[in-house]
Amino acid sequence: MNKNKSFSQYLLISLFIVLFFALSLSFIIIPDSPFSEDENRALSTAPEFSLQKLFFGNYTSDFSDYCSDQFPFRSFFVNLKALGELALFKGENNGIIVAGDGNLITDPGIANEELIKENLSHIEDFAKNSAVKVYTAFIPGGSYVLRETLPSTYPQGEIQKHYRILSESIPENVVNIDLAPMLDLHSSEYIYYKTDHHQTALGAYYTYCEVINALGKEPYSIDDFKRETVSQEFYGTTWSFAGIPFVKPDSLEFFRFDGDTEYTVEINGKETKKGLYDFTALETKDKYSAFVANTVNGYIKISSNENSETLIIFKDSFAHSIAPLLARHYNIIMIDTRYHMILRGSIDKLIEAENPSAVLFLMGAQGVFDNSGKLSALRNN
Amino acid sequence: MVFSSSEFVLLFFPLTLLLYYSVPKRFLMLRNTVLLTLSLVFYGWGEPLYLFLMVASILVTYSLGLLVSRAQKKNAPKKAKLWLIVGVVFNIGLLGFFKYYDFIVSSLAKIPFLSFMEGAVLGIGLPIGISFYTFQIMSYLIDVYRGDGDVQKNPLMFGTYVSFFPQLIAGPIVKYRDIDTQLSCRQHNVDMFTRGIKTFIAGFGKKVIIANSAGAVFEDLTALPPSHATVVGSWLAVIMYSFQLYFDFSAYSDMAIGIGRMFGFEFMENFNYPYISKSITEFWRRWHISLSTWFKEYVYIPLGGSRVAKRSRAWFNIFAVWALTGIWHGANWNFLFWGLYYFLFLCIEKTFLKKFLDKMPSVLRHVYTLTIVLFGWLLFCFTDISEGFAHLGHMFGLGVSGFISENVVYILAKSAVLIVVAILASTPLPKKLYYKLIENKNELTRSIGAFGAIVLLLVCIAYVCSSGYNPFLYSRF
Repeated sequence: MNKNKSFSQYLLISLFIVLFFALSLSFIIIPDSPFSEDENRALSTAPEFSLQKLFFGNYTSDFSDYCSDQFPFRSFFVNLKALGELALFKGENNGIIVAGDGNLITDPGIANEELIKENLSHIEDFAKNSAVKVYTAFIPGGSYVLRETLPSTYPQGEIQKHYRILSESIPENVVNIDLAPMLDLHSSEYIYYKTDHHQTALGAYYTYCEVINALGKEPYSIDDFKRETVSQEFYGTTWSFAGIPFVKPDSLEFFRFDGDTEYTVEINGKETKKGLYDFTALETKDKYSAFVANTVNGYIKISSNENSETLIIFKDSFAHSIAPLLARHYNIIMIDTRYHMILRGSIDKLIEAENPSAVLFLMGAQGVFDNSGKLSALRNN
Repeated sequence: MVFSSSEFVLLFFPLTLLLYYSVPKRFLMLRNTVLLTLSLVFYGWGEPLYLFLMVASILVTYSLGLLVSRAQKKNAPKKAKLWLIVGVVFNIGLLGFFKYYDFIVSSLAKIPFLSFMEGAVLGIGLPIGISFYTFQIMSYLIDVYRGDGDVQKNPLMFGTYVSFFPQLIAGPIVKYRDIDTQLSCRQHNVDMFTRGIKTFIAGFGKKVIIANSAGAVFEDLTALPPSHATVVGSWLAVIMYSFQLYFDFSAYSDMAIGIGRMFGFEFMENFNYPYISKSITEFWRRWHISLSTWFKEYVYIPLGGSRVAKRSRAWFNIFAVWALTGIWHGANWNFLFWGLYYFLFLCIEKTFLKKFLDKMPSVLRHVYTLTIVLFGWLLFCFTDISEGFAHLGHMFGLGVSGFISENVVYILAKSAVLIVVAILASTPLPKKLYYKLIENKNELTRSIGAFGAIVLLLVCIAYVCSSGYNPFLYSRF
């Protein structure tokens, strides 16, 4: 081996060793973080060792989870991997399509007719036993409304198929509010976040108009609200999933009106705060939860002395940005469909006591398309 | 534990390097003991209970090795043979029980009057790597018996050989005599360490970037409901599976060889660009070389190979090797058929096709070989043979919804670059270019190459790290 050759060899060896030991040391030294804001979940921490757990439990797999959750410089690596995927021209990462105009859009996947019908059958069963009229409004995903921005090779037919099956399978005992035509009309406006799967306050406003019309009431005009931009730094969930760096953040807007701070918000029967918007959430990563409150295991009641009627909403997080607008007409009880089963008994009593004018299913259409089990929790037993 | 896991990258690998190299060079036995100890941790990580099984295999075979060698020295060949048979029966017995018992019993239960055997199915989990380490152990015992290798008197050294973590769970299958001298005397130098790093990083990239991506495309395609089956989609699925299999498996060998070099060991190459073969005979000289040579040396030649009086016996010998090769890959009928499928094509080539092939243009020979290999993977892929036939039908337009669908167009568009990368990486071209433009040029290019290698390593680590990145839509309650 000549002397010249060894410089690059020593270089490679040093870099290699330094990299591994730096990572290892960082892992050991950097204190464990209990929660990941980007992932919106608790992280695993070091499992406790016992021989019992080692041989008959899951010590090693817990330890593996711990290593992967507490991986040092995690967001750097997540971004690097996302760039790697883009360098391979995959056009997506972690199920999120990098679409035009800076939109990060959840891939809705393959339409499954049986699954959609099964999901809707739970609403049908619910409506059979309901004393009041049941309305449904499924909020189309970004993949539908922003479909023009998807890659040219994206199977548009598959998206259409989702919505065709959905509209053909709506149970006969409910009144469905078809939001798609109206959203198509406004699709060039900023009605969906670019970095999140939800509608913006403007999109929520248009949805509100359709819903309130169907409920037989006159919507407030857009000028009856004071539009207030509350954040220019909103990075939502599709951004978290995609892990792609150098993405422009969304801006977050509230549709305010006089008296919106006077509303009472109760969670599971306990008054928690006043006002339709939770300004403290704007300080966190999960800014979307500023609309009313974060999703809760149970129900959220929004009430004001001004209202005389009550609307029950079975919902997912999509309803949160629309609820403040509907609250101008109704007292609202929002129940997360996924937790209906757990609270079944008390919810029935609640509905009886509140004597609602209508029941509204207000949720993302994706919840009907996939097997996340959002609607199966409605089952009676 | 696998190489592409966080715990390996963050703790196990750096710790092993640290402990190994903190023992001075002159205490090689102590270094080996470090490797043995850590290898046992590596193995026990996934399934701590099966660690005892492996340790038992090691101890029993170690003792039998001593007995065989003592009998040989005392000129008692019958005794030596007896101990050899005990060892082989013991090891094959363990492999047979843990790997094939459930398959055999449930297959027998399908015979009408044996259906009561259904109750005897135990649902045994396959001990990881058992197919690999059992073969290593047996090669040792047979070599000692035949006098092809020396007996190992130190149980720690023998244990190090069997359990050495880089090749423990997915090969290459290292023969004892190839590593015997390395255990007691080996070089640790900059040149070898550097080559180790490069091979390791190349393997790492093949695994986490190419193999996993190809696997994801395969998953995407097979997740399409049957009503979406198309001709192009079905072909693409098998092609992606072929890439996944090759890159996954050869990557593991590369990483094993690379890590081995970092600790001063030189293992045999296990894959030599199998997809550039021009015949099936050549394919099997390039694919999983350590397995083919094992079967050749410990099954085919002892059976008499081709030097037997009767022609039928020679055919039987080849048949036996390929039936065993097939079933070695998994306890299921499709693997057996896959082995016999190659038996068939090797025989055809041996008898007459080779003469024709030699005259054909090499493009056609490549097409012929890859086609056979591709359909072989179809057989390999579907443990449910009727599913495999359905897929085969789709490839030729039977029971499909069309030639291509927009879903498949999209999947194809997303994976186009990956496919090009995978094709190139299946050939020696990247390596040649690397040598031409970097390694053999000058010190500057080599230094830039070193930085490039580290960047690639960082990207690989990024893929490992990201696999544990799972955002939730809703916060927990």
